[in-house]
Amino acid sequence: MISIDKKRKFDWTLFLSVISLVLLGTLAIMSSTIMLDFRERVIRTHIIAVFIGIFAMLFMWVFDYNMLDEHSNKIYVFFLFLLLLVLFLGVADKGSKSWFRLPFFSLQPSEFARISLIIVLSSYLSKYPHSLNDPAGIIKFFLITLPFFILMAKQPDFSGILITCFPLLVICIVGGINLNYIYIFIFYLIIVLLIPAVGVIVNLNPDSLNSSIVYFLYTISYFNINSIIFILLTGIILFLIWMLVNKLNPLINISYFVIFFSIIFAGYLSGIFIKSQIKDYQYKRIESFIYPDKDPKGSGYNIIQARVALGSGGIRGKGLFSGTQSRLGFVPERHTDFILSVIGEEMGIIGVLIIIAAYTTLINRIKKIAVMSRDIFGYYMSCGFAGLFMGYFFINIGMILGFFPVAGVPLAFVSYGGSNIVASFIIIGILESIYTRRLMIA
Amino acid sequence: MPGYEKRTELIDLIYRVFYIILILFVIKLISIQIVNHSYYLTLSEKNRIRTISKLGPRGNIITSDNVAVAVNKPSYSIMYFPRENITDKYIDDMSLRISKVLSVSYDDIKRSISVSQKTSKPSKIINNLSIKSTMFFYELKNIFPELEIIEENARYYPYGNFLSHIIGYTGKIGENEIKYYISKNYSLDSLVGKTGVEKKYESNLKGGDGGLFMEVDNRGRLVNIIGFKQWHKGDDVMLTINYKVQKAMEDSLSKLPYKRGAAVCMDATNGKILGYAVKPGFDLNYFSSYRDDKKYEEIDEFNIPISGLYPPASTFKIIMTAAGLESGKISESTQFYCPGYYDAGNRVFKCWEKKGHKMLDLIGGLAKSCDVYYYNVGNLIGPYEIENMARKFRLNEKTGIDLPYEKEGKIFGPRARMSGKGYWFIGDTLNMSIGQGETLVTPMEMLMVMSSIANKGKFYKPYYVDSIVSSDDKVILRNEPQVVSEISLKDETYATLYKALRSVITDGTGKLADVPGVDVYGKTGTAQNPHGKDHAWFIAFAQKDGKNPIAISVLIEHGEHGSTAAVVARDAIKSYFLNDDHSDEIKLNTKKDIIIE
Repeated sequence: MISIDKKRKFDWTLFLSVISLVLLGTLAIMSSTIMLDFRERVIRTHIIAVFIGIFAMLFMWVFDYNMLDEHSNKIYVFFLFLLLLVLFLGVADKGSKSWFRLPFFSLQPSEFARISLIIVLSSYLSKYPHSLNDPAGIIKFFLITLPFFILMAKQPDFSGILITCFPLLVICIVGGINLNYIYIFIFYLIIVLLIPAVGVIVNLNPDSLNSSIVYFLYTISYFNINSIIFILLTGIILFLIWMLVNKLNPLINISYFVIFFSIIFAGYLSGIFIKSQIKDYQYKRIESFIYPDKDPKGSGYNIIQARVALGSGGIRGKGLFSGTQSRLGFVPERHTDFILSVIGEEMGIIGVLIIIAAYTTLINRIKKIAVMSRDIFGYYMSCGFAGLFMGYFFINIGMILGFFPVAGVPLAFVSYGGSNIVASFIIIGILESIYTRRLMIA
Repeated sequence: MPGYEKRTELIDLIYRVFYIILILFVIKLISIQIVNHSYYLTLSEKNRIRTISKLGPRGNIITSDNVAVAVNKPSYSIMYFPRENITDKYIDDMSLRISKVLSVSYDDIKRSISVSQKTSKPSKIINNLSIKSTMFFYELKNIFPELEIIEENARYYPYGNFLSHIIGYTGKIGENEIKYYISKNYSLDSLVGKTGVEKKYESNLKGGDGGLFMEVDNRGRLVNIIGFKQWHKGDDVMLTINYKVQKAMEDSLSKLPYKRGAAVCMDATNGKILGYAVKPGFDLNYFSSYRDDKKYEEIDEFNIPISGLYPPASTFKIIMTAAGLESGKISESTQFYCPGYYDAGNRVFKCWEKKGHKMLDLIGGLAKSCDVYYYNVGNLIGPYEIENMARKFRLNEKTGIDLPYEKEGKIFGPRARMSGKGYWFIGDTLNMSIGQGETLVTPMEMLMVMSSIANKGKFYKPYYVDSIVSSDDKVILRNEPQVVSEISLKDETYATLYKALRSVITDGTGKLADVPGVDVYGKTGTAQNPHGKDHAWFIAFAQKDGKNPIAISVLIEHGEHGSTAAVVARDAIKSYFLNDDHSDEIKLNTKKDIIIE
């Protein structure tokens, strides 16, 4: 059997990588808020959140995670209810009604609802392991996520939706989804994004309307007579292609073309819908991502200043509490979403590499836990959490490095944000629970 | 656990994608933080540091007799530096006192201070304070430490339209100069030299800029003061120009009823320009007050002494005399009869005196400027001798004075004609002999002729900047006299020339240039001008014991007769040799304590 030294009760590597992230993050938060009036409150809240988080982690660790499996539906419904409630009782901050204002702190229920979504999906997949192999299963899988996304969109919290896509994708892949569905989804996504993208292109460069393709897409980017013509034309063309192909090879099923048509149709309609939903500031973010110097004082300001902070740090940085970009307030959102540029400025590339190394260890460790887990439920859940942390990593760091448009996604464990920290610690607690019970028989 | 098994190859796939992206991130991170570090560091410094710059004042431009002709006019502003815990009452009190002491509007002051305090941005609250008020300011400063005085400098030319072509003027940096000056670390609100000495010695005249460096936050609010860099004044340029001579010549020119003219005066023993008067000049202060480029075009900046080409007319007879004497074909006693015309066979050449000068020797011929006498001389010595002598006197060479757009004269002679494949006629020789025809010279070249006769043969390179002296009295540059070429004439030639040129003044055409007590030698000239009235020439040199001889060249466009030009030369000679003249008008300023209200 397994030797005694492998029966470790607690995954210290996982925990220590988290603690190093939290320590660096706390230093950066303390430094970046020096000039802010509400500095003390921020630091106090942050430290309290870390302690609550550690406590919650220990609680989840002691707790058998299979209880989550049993009660996954109730948990999910409970958090959906909270998400519904926040739409009525919540307070708005930066245009999103995402917070409950409680006597001593604010609570963002979506952070916890996201965990419950991962739990419920893992539970579903572990109960119906082959469900992702057929379309009906996939549809059912996505129907589960639908209320969560609808409620999130209602707040609206698009960066919250964005970050949730990562664990979903990872769960789908490890759940053995036929990769064709992923390709179909990517194709659909391209069609969807094409429509708003045309708007961005035209905004950035009005001369591009001279190009006939851009002009055509621009005229059909909102619902009118042209769009009906477009849909009919697509249908007819696809039908003609099928007729042709059918002559050459009669074995090819028409259903491919029907699917193809439905994807274009659905993608196009969703594209029009999304375009009508996108707010001006979101367009600006995308524009400033593509071309930040277009409006360096306006929409491009954040990303330029964050980059300047990062770049001016050099190898060793300007020293703790000495970063001018962050201390003097040139970097916006410096204690939340742009915390990494503060670390880069004050601790240099060394600080940033420590963060990246700690994150990599964390994500790597989750994979180990997933593989070690005693059951498939723990496996799916761990994979989902790994996907979630990858999402934070990609979007937040990618945004600062310029790979991704500005999105309000924090760097979990490093950024300031009570709910996010507590929720992230809960995840670590669940993972520790999976780790500890890896050798027990369920 | 029944059912599905873990498909670890799928999660491996995901992790492979993760590591690829991770590597991309690290590469990008290195490119931002290490490769482009210095670029971003500069940007972050630019962000946080605001400078209240204090431009170092330009150096003065000073004449050889210590008159500052280009100075700085200080203007003062008061700045308010906001600090914490300032009450409204305090601001009220401060505004009230400032308005009383400096007699300015209470409301304006209060508004400026309040805005500055509210935004935490230091700002100027009073501009252009008079120099008297600055004394009262220090009382205020004792009570209100938030106030600070700032000195700024505008360029000022105390004598306005004076020596304009030499001094030049300053202006804001023009659009096409921005790149050049930015590369030289100029602040964009600096004044830079546009012409003349101001431009030529820009790098010396420019003061060292200083300023107050402050750390500000993202809203531009003062966080703390990082440092102060002391400015320093630029180097002074000492001209060779003599203020008295310059003033005398400009006054004299301005009294004449002719629109354009020029007079240049030079020390014959070293090439130092003592006076460089051009009419019409332009008011240099005009340029520091107007920034409109179109205005510049309205001004006549034509530099007559070096860019104007005129027939030398009778002044050429000096060269004829020298050529004749050197050839040995004529001497002081050579006589010719002037009936008022000269019969060249197929054509009759007239003398300017229709009645004729009767019998003349060389002295009389030059004194009376008799054309017929010089037709005979020309005929006797031939055109080659004349052309050679004109070349020796460098009439086809630039003088080398350090001014832009200098032109060289053109010698009209048989060699020049032959290179153009034309024929040379006897009539050409005669025309050449009296300085008409196609020979063209600049006043500067004629000045060199006179100076070389005065110093017996040396051609000095004319210069107008004597030295450059730094603000701590170190001599940075000193120009030394430079002999460009030498001409060797026989001693007898000089003796006869001196005698003849002297007689022009004593009993010839140049009587008006006579100054008692000074030996003046000169020659008038009246250049025929097909486009209007004749141009007037007068070139001269003068000497007196104890002082260096000076050479003068005067040209008055459409001045009709050489004697009008002689007046200008006389005034210059007087001012140089006789100290009392004009002295009541000249206030000598010492170099260091020039205060202009």
